[in-house]
Amino acid sequence: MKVKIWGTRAQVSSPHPRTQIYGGNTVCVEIQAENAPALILDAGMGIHWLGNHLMKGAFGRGQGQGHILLTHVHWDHIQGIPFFAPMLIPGNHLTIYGPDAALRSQLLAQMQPAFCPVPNFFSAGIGADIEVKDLSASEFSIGAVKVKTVRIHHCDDAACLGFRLEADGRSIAYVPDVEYLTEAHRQQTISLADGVDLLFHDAMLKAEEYPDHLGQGHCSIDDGIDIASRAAVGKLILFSHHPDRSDVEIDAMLKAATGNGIAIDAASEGTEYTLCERNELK
Amino acid sequence: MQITFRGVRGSYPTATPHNIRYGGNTPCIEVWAGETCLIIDAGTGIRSLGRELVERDQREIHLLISHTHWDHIQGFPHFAPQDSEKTHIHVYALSHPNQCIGDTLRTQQQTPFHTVSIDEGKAQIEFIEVNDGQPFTIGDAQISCHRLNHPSITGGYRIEYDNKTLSYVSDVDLYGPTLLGEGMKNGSPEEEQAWHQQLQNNARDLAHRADLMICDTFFLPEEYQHDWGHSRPEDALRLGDEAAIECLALFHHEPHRSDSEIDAVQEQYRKEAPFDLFASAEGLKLSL
Repeated sequence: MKVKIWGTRAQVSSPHPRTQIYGGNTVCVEIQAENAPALILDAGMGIHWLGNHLMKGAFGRGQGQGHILLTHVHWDHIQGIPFFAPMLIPGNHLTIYGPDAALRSQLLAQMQPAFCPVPNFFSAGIGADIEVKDLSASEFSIGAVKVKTVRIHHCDDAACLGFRLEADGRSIAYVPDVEYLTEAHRQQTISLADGVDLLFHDAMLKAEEYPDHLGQGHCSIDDGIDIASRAAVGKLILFSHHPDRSDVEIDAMLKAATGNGIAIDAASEGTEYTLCERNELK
Repeated sequence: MQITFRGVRGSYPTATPHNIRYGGNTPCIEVWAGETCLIIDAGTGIRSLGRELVERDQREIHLLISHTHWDHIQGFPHFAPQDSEKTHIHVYALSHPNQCIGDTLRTQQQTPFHTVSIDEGKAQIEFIEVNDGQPFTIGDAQISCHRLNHPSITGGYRIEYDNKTLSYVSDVDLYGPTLLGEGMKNGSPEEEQAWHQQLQNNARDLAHRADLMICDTFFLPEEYQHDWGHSRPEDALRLGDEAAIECLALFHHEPHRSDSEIDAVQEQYRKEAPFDLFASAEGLKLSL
């Protein structure tokens, strides 16, 4: 299983000379597994660049099969969809999953002509075939990848999911936006991320910044380290960087995060993690 | 009049090492007419401006919106003065037959898409619909807004202050064969001809003898699409010539246009233009 990061930023894209290393595009992660179609976590602006890459293969010929899993529908998690080129190619088939029964109408709202001049590829006869599925807590498979979704506490007014994906005996957990107001909130992530090789976790705030953002749906880096440690993950990846966080600040943040012996990376655009098949002894 | 380019990129923000010099933020122009703070469009470029306005405790802010495509409004939810007490944000846009600007911006900030609604912010936000071609005053600046040929309802702005004129002519297909705006399509040939004439007159009225015209030059000639509502540098040169402008800023760069490509475009069209010409770059400040 390969995991490639295409977008790392929370809230809003932040193109800037000081965001060149960790990247300025809003969140998007690609999962490649053998015997599974293209699998994409969240559709921030990073998905635009992933789309351009995918167009060089089957998606450019109208033969692509892809699945996009949305944690929730805040703009920074869906704003790349209108600019995801495979959507415009007839013959491609894309399935979009998200945590709300109203998901289809929410995605259509983004395509309204007042906001968006791109042809509405959700309509029959325009572009790819697109299927929209709403999820709550559930487990299912996409090809050889086992997917588990759980409800995560982010904001009161937006349903939000975390994901766990497993293939070839390796696993990742993806929790880009989360706030822990209670121990029960923490347990949701800990059980989801139990023993995963990689945990992508909200790191929008530093511990000293968190009190000013209490109740706004994000947690501190220290919370991510606490969760990673208690879930005994292989590596914590600090994700969802604040749009104003410069490369130098992220470097310093990473250096300061010693983390109870847990290996820690700061998510940077373009980084690819390869998780080799784990052969269990019998 | 002091002008700062905060965002110059068209369609969507592009964070990539290939465009650091010209910048990847979507459209926003900061304009000071004396002490009056004017902002044209609220692409992602407005975010850095918002922080500075809060730091300097700017209480009165006038935001002129050309149209509500994402790249022109997506920065507004992240505009720090929205949550600044005693701040008054006046938002202007061309009147729309069935969707007023306030409703459109409220929709952008409603749940489940965004966490803080417009009405929860501490600032007072007022929405003002302006009529096509009807002049109005903000402080000592004379403003007019004229409709342009672009999908939905789009207006360019002309700002006159202290005997200097800034024209903002974006987004627009200046001389294209296709009528694109809401309510323009499916008319008789005579009606379509009248629309074409009206829209070209509007662009000329906006640009007339401007000291600086910021103009949509999204396409290179070989890329032109007649139904997207964007122009080429030669269209901007033609308008600049017809309107006898002093200086042209190429603007609303195609999202993937790299720094070196924009350098080359600027160099090529500088040779052809009978007036000063430069490619808009994020952070560039100039004074009229």
